[in-house]
Amino acid sequence: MIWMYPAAAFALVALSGPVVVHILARHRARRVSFPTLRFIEARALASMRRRALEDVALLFLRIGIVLMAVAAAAGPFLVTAARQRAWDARTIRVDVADTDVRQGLVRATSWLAKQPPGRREIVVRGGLPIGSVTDADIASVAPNIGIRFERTGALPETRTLRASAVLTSGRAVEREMMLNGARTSVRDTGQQERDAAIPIEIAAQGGQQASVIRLREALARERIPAPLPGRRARVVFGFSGTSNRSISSPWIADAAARAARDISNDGAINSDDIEFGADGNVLMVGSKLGPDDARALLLLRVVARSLAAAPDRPADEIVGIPDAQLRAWSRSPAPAAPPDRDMIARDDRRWAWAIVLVLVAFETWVRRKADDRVESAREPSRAA
Amino acid sequence: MNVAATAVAPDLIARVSDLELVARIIVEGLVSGLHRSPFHGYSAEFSQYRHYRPGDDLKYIDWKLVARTDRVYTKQFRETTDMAAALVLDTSASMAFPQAPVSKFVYARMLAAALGYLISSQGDSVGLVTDAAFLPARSGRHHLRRLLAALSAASPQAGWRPAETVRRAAERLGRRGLLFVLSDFYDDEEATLAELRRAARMGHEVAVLQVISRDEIEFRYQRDAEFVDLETGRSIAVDAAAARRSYTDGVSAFLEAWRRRAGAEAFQYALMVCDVPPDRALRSFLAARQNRQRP
Repeated sequence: MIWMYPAAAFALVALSGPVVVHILARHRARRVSFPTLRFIEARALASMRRRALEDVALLFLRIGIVLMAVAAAAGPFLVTAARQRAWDARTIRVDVADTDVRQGLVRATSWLAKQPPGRREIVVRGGLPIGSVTDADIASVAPNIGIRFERTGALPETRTLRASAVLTSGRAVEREMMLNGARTSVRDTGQQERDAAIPIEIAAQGGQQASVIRLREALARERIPAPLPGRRARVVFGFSGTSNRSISSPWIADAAARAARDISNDGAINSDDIEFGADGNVLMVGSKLGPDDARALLLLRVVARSLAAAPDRPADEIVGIPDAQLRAWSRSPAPAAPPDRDMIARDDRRWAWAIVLVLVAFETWVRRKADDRVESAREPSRAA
Repeated sequence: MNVAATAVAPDLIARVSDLELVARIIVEGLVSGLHRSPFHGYSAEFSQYRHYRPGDDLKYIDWKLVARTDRVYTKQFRETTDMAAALVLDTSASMAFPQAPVSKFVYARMLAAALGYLISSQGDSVGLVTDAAFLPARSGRHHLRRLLAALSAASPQAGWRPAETVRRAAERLGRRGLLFVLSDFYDDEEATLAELRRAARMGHEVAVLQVISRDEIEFRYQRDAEFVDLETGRSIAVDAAAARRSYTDGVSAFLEAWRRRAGAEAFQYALMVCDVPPDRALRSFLAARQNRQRP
């Protein structure tokens, strides 16, 4: 049941209060001791007698009339089985063919909310490349709205992604990557407002400070991937052995593994000459190479790459969302929900008022029957 | 003298607890307006002299005696000196209406006390008959006090038998007398009327004083009310405003019927309404009585 004007119930209940008090008050009419009743005709029976509370049937009938009038004034809208079936038989469907599927889903949900009762469904059409729809987009759609995917057309040929920033010459440079079929190109797009200092400390055992300085300057001129926040490393050249500190930090373990893999793949540096460890939250790299060694800068590049985020190249590729994922996201529309009050064009108050009229007519009939009973009961006494 | 100015409101008199004093107040008020005594007839048989009392008919004053003695005496005649009266007082429960300011019973009792006082003060005999009490007609101050005491002790209650009471009063009155019946006459009308006729046939003079209240005449009730019969306890709830018309028609017809019946039987009839000062009411009654007796 939906009530169009629920406040009307309070108004009519408030009005009923004085009526009830009036009925009860009238029942307590005063008693007058009188010398004789012979001249008082029974025809002028007091209204309190007609509304005597001892006539329970009339009382409940009148209560029913008041309640039905309250219900009628409140504008009832019955959610009947027939109405529910009619709503469920209708499906309101909206197609989303936007290139920006996320925005399309938002607009579709907003539009569906304004529609009359019925099942609701969104159909997402397009190439559906990876990244065009995410779990968060699906979660933002109300659970009663069905979702269906249809692949149409072809995947887009190009895709532009944001690439990781690089640090060079004391600047942090933003980059953009364009995937065009099998070709991938990257270009600088601007400068980032961030700390551009390379978080790699360079040290050499046995002095050789000048060599360390030259190495630091050479590294600064390189274009190295911007490290993730909080990640730092210390590279010690001419190191004969590590202090055997175990690595407990996951990122340090991951960085050390990546660096070790890069060194091994590159082959220029002997893996046995490099040792990895941790000092707190700092990646420790010990190398037997000296700071003047030509491979020293290579080692620093490897360490710098290990501090940056690992690229997830498969996610960047222009491929379609797997069918299994689309099936997992798809769902049938739920049964239609009753409409909001402002969606209801016509409520059922006319039936309620009709019931009120019928009850009033019935009450009148019952009351007259009761009066006739009283009148016929008085006839013998008057004759006496 | 302005007679109207001497009238005392019934509720005021009713506050006086001494019934003899009440009677005296009423009698003084009514006698002052009468030209002559209302209870002395026109018998030619001289009986005796007595001192003049205010109200005595001037034609019965012996002027020769006045000239001789410088005192005023009234002649009394045989029949008047032998007048006996009986006061029949209705003590039914219906006489207890209204409760304020003065009930019909209190009013009727005041009238009865005044009549008894008047009759007794003129040397005549007076008795009292109610459902529960009987005092034969006697004269004298002592008897008057007993009569007034019996009136004070009476009270309205259920079980009034009007026909029997009237019969007893008429039979015990003996020779021709004066029968005053003070009642609302709601009960046993036909039987009561029959006994009154019988009393008249016995030679008594019958005076019907129908006592009623203003509320009974006008039915001044506006809203719903449950009316409870004082005698039977039966009740009826009515819309008083709607019932007023038929009620007033009914009670008017009832009072008119008694007036006509009394007239047809040559009874003296007076309608005594409780809100009229008793002395004024009695004066009207006695004046009408004198007019009836005028040849």
